[in-house]
Amino acid sequence: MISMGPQHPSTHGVFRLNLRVDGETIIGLKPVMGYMHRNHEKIGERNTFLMNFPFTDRLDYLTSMGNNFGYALAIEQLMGDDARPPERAEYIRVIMAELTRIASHMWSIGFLLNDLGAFFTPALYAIEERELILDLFEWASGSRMMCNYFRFGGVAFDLPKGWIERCRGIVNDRIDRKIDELDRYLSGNEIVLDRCKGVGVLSAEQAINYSAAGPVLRASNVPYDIRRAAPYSIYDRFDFEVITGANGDLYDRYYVRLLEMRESAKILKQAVRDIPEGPILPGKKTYQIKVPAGEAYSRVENPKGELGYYVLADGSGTAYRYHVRSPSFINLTALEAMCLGHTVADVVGILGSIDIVLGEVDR
Amino acid sequence: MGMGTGVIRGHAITLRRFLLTFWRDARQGRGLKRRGGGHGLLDFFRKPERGSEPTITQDFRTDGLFTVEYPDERLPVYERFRVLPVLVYDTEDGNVRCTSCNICARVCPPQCIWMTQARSPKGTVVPLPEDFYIDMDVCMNCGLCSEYCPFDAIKMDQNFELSNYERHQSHIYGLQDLLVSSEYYAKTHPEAWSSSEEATERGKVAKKKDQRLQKALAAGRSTPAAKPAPQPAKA
Ligand code: SF4
Ligand code: SF4
Repeated sequence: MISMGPQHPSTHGVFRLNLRVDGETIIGLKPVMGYMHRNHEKIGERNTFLMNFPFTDRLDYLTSMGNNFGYALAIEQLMGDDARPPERAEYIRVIMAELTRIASHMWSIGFLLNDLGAFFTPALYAIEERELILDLFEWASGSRMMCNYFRFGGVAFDLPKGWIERCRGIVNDRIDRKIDELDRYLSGNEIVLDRCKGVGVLSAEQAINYSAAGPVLRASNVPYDIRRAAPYSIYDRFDFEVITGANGDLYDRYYVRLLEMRESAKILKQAVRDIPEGPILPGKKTYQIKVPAGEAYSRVENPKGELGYYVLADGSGTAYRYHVRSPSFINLTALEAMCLGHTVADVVGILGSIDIVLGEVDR
Repeated sequence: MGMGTGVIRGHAITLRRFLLTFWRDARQGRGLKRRGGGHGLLDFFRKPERGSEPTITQDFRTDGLFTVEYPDERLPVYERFRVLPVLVYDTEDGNVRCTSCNICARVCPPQCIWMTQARSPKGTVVPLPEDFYIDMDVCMNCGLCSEYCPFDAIKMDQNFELSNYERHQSHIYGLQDLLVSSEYYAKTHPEAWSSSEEATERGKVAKKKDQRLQKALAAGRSTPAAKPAPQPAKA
């Protein structure tokens, strides 16, 4: 019996794994969560709907734009026509969500390599692109990570002058080159292949049964992407592929993320080409938001997987019940199935390949 | 598996990146200088003067390694960049813009703003804050207060160099700590300041506030409770 964590550097936060080992081989594994429990859902029931936006930033703190997106969709579902985003806002939202995906996947690939022992060189190369994307976020929304940029029916501010040009530059002239470089750098590397191929296999059936989502699910050869399966916002207009992997091992999860970045770049190119001028909110900005009684569930394809918000409103200023389906948490339940029979050193890599963020696991 | 072509290719990419950094510096004429260092050649130990550090903008043309030698070099501060809220007073007449309407306190997600409204000696309400507190340890830097303030009174400051040794008394900012001049705000937020919305808003607000103040004073028929003498917040 080994307790790995809660302060182990490979657990990406405060998180503990109880390992049962026979020599070096894992024969049982139990994730112990809750070290970073912050009462997110209960606070969400105290907050007014608007006040909850900055709290959603802090779920998966690497993808705050995506979190905002899901939450905005849930409340907009309740508000109906009052909060129908104008065209330009929809484009801005999609651009932000896809930039977030690239940033998050870059992070995840970089730190997967860190977990495999390639200390920081690949990680730093990967997050250079994230740096540029965070600059864009800071420029538009005022903050690099806690963006708090979406509002019901649109976004908080219009894009500043020059933003879209720089974004076009990054998207059209740079991202693809950098993804290629990362691909050349890592995908054929013998050490990566050795550590990743055939490790942490999750079969398609298992992945579905654990209701895994996102790259973890798709790497197990299940072509399921909310952007395609239940298109929200304006995703039905864009041309992109749903990437799947064949074997569901660690390598496939890495490679699916890499290819997904290319698809995101593809969506971004279409979006920065087509973005129209116009308003960014349907009406005047107001803090008094009336949400009729009812229940709503919205889901978005966040970089980590399906992020869902369930909101039950009773007509007052706050939600009666608020629940978050967080992909990191649910993907984590499949960890034991992936790890059995492997060594302790592989657990670190497998955990890295699920790409968890503890802010979202514990909420 | 031994060292194969993949590993060698990886090393080549690392080397290329390393060299690109020097190439970029050479191209920009800083070949032998320490970035963020003094003016002379090989000037390793001097620092640029405080306030005149070079700003490095990284955009899609940046290659090599992304190092910014903070604090001797800085990244640009974007106008919307937000850290802590401040209250604005008008430089011309010293009027605090806030009318103590309490909206910011109501939208603040962690509920870290509280204030008391000023009253004239007669006891009638004056649209000015008697005192105004923000607990900066609790503030989550979300910017909602400044977004929804109807009088353009509370704004997000960009000063991020806030570290100090004390953690019990000085982090609850009172009115005097929060006040900054509109001149300062115009400097840090040039675009917002010159935008037509804020300019018309300023005109409207000034008028409305004056009216309300006059009304409140007339009702009280006495001089107002001493207006808080505005001072710029500590830098
Ligand atoms: S800062 Fe603005 S919102 Fe807050 S009390 Fe003053 S006028 Fe009202
Ligand atoms: S920035 Fe947000 S948390 Fe801070 S005082 Fe304003 S509303 Fe409150």
